[in-house]
Amino acid sequence: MESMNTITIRFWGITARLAGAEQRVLQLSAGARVADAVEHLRLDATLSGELPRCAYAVGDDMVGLDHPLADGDELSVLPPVSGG
Amino acid sequence: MNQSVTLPHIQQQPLQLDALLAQTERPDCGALAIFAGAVRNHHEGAAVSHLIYTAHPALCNKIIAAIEQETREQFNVPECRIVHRIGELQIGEVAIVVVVRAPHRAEAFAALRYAVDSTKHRAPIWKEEFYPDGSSSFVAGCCIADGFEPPDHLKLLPKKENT
Repeated sequence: MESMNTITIRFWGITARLAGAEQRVLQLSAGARVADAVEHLRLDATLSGELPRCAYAVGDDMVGLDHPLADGDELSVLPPVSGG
Repeated sequence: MNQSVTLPHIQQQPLQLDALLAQTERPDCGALAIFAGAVRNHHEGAAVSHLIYTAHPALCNKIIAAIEQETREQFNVPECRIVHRIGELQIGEVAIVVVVRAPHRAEAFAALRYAVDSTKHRAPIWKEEFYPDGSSSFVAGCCIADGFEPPDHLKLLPKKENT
C-alpha cells in the first residue's frame, strides 16, 4: 500500500477567507512536494485565483514549490502582505 | 488567531516608543530617526472605521529580525529596531514603530526608509480594513512569492569585501 503523509495547510490573510477555514488537512503521497499540495488546492475554485500570488512556508522557513514535505508538516499559504 | 502574541517584533499590546528609545540609546550616535505608522480613517477614498492586523508570528518575527540586521549592515548604522502591532486597532493607534540610531543623519534617514519599506514589502502581515457599514476587505499587498521582484530601493546592495 502506498505510504501517505499528513500535511496541515494553514491559510493566512485573504486565503483563510477564500478557503472558508484557517486550516485544512491533506493526505499526500510520501515524497510529495509543496507543488503537489498547491496542485491539490487549485481544485478549490474559490482559492485557485489567489494561489499564483502566494508564497509558502513550512514552520518559520520560507520554501519553494520544489520543497519536499514530511509527514506532520504545517504548510502556510502566504498571500501578498500588507503590514505597516 | 494571534491571541496573546508577544514576540520581540510582533505584539498584541500597544507599542511603547519610550522602551525602544531606552533600549537603543548610544553615546556614539548623534542621529535618531523614528517612524511611526498610525491607522488612518480613510483608504482610496473610502472611510475606514478600524483595522485588524494578522501575522504569521514566528515567520514574521524571523523576517523582521533579518531586516533589522540587513539595515544595520547595509547602512552601517549601529541600531535598528522594528516592532509591529497585530490585532484590532482603532483610528490613530500606532501599528508600526521603527527606530534607527546612527552617528549622522544621512545614513539614519536612508536606513529608516529601507527598514520601514522592507517591513511593508516582506513581513507576513495582513491588514483587513473595516468600513462604517460593517463590511471589510483585505488590503491589496505586496507579493512575496518567488519571482516577484522588490522595488529597486529595497534590493540588497552587494556585500562589501574586506580589504
